[in-house]
Amino acid sequence: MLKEGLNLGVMYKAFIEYNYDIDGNSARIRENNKDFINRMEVGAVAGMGYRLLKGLGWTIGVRYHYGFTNVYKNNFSAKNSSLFLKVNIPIGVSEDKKAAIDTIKDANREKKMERKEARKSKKNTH
Amino acid sequence: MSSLSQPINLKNRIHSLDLKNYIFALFFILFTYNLQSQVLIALLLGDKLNSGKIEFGLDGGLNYSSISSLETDNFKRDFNLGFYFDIKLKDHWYFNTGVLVKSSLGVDQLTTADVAQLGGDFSNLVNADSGDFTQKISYFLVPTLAKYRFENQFYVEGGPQFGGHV
Repeated sequence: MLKEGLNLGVMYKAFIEYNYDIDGNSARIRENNKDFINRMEVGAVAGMGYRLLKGLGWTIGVRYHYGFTNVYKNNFSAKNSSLFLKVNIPIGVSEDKKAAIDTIKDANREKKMERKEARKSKKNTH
Repeated sequence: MSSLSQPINLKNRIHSLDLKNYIFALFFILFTYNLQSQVLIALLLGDKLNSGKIEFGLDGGLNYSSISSLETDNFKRDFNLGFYFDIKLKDHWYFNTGVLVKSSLGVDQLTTADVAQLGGDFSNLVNADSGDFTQKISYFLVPTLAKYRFENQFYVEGGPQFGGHV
């Protein structure tokens, strides 16, 4: 697996993996079945999610992929489907956005402190 | 982000890096050793790709996949990793694309009939009954989605997604 990470040309694979793990004996065997699988995959996607930090931070979301194309060359009704739980992390945020993010974070921190103090004063009055 | 581009010039600049930077660079290299090179390139170019209208970043997570019409219907869980572009079209509307370079679809716990149909030859296997068979297919997936963001930061998206298995 380590080798794969540095290859510029991408290696794609398809295999059936056999996993056996009983009473401390374990085995993993991979049988390549690339020749049985179609190269193209086309599907429809629907998704939804939420963006943190008032639209400037990470995005968390779900996506569902429903395949239209046949996965296998010898089975004309097998289609892919997959549910994605995802995180989007923006990188290299521009300077003005950074400033905006900082102000939001500061405001959130202040709110937190206020709530803490409010709770404290409540406790003291009781 | 500028500190992330240091490993590129590591050979020439190693004498000028202080210890902290050096450790950071080392950690970064070890960390990215496992990442796909496309993702690494994306990380290094991230600053230049971002502008007011285009947002660029890392995309990753978990996916639960299945393949229809087989005897099994057990989901296979896997991690995926890639990068995305969010391109602003007009108010609230975005075009979302990118590529998941490391993503795998498939299905878990194939029956023996499934395995035979899908071209697996495990005839020499002694313990075939007591193990699990999983179909894994590596794809790169390219979404081309229309995305609508509401004022309250929720969004919905939809559109075609293209993939290739090479």
